[in-house]
Amino acid sequence: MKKTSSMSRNNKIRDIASYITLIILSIIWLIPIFWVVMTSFREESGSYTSYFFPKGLTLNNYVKLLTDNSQFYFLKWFGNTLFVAVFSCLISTFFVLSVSYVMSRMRFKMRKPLMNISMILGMFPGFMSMIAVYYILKGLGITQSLIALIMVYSGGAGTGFFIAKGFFDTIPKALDEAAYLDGASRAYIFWNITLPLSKPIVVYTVLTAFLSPWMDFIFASVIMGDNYNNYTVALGLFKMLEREFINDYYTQFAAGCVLISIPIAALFISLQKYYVEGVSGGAVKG
Amino acid sequence: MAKNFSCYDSHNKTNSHPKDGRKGYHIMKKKAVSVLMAAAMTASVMAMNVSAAEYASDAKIKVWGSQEDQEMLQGMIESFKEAYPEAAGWTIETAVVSAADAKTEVLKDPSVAADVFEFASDQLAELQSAGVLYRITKNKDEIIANNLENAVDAATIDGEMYGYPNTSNSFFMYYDTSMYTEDEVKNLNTMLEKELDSGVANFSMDLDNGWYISSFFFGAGCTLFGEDGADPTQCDFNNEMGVLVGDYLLDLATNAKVKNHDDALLLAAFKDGTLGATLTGTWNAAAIEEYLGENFGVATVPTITLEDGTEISPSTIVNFNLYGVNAQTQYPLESMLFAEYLSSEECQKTRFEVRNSSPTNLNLVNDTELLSTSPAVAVLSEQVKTSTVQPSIPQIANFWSPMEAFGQDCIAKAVTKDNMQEKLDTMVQGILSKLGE
Repeated sequence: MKKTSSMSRNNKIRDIASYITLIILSIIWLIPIFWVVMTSFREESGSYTSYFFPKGLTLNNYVKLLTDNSQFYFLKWFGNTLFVAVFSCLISTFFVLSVSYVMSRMRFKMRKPLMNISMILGMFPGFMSMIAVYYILKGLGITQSLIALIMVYSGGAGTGFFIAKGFFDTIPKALDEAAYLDGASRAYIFWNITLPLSKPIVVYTVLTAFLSPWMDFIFASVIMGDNYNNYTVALGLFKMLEREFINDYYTQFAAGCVLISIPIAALFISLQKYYVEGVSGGAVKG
Repeated sequence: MAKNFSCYDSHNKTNSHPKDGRKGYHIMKKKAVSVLMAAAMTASVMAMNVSAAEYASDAKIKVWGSQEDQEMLQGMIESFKEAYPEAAGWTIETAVVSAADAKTEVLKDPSVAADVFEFASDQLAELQSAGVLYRITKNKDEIIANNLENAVDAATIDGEMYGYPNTSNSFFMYYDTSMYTEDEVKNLNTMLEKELDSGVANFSMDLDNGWYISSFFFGAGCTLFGEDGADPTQCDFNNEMGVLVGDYLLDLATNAKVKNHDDALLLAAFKDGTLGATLTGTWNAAAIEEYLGENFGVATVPTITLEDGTEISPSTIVNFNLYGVNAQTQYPLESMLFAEYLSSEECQKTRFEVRNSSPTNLNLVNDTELLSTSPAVAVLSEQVKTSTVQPSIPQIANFWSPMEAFGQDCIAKAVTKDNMQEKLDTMVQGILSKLGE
């Protein structure tokens, strides 16, 4: 009796200690995000204030960001990025999953060499090929267009198949074979058996593909050049931080950052249940 | 061109160690390619001059400017067409690339870059050696006579001009007139002796930024990359005067009345009323004027009195915005005419009125009545007369980090007056270290 109570007390102490540690860590981790959100509602302009909590709160930063188009076309750039993100997400998800399925399920002579090549290519940073990509796009006459961005973001997606292939490998081949016996084609198996079983990896692929256009700066700046109308938000927001603008636009910049997180967060939340479901389902099966 | 090549050649020979022979070869090769390109460019320039005797009636010109400038540029295009009837049929379009980004955008692909673009003078050497700039021949003497001497210098390489001077950009002092009188702001030592309210810093500057602290070295007669700023093996910031300046900087950094402020911090400090004076440029003028209100004051950078009693007047680094003409333009004569117009007295005046830019045109610089409408620009115009042009050779890339390190060492007290010479030697060594090593 005595022993169990001391054990439970020990457990309690351990619980409390770990909760306190976690709370402290999460506060440290959340402060910058909280600060950006606070800044986006701050009434006073300027990039730096000597106090943490704004003296006045306002929605004006958001209103101005969305309506004042004299310097920065935030709404247009937001639309551009969303457009590029949606399409490159669809295309690259399709590429990644198709390649992974092929590499996981089919056996052909070039399989190993192809896998090695894409592994090695993946080790080089993408922007090494930037200028070459630029001239190819120029040759096609589509520089400074959103189509070019979609092509750049999704074109090489197929080489990033390793994680998805690893996942497909864990789905028993016996399932495929059973389906063959019932007369299913490979395509049928892919769409109706493999994909439904791989929701978490599909979600993961969709999320990463959707994120890259919002984050990328280098390719967007090389491809867009002087075409201000076709900028993406990453380029546009960076402009706000230039020496001449930063003092007046910093709070709007923060508002822009908050707005960008909305589509990403929305996509994540709407896909989250598959993610969690799939991961736990996989754990039980494994 | 040949001169350029041979000079680089000998430089390579004298400096290459056995181990980096290969590297030297690569540099040579690269250089040889750009020399060939430049030669081809010169040939085409000459051909153009012969064939194009008069202006085309349907020229298409693209001009780059920052987003803030777009509306103003439209106005200038209209007035240009009015002033030059032969240009009535030209199509002049604008696109958004600021002067700061011009080098990156032009060098990426000169064939699609604008025909006329604004760039900062610290990009000149690289743009010129890449062969993307047209040499200015027409009305050259007139342009030289009309503009500030150092602005012309900033646009000139080996006696040839490659850009039309347009605006100048440097820094000067802002101060709170309730804390200092006009006499006091003439010397920094006087300012620092004054006792201000507790919690108020007498003076602040970006102590770990070479752009600002170099002004003291230049003021003491030190030079960076030789007299003309084109020799990557010269820098004498570690000479006798340099050591005195270093001591002065150390005293500043360790003085409790002096704060190390970058843009964000100095604006916040003026807003809170905890700062007497600071060094920054016109881009902060509107904000500081708003924060200081009636007490807004501007002055040229104050003189400093070194340990040995000599009083020196700092010479700030200055950049000029220049208009360049793309060497690959289809309409060189038309572009040059337009670029010349954009940098003319009339347009510089508009720029001053609309964008609060500091002009380089002598008539405007000396027009005290006009400039008095903007005290900040008036002071800047005064300041740049004694300024040092920021060198534009690629070696400048190695300048900022050693200067920053030195400034930070001063703040951290890793530098003492005893090891000042040694630290400055290290700094100069860093500045002169060969690129890419």
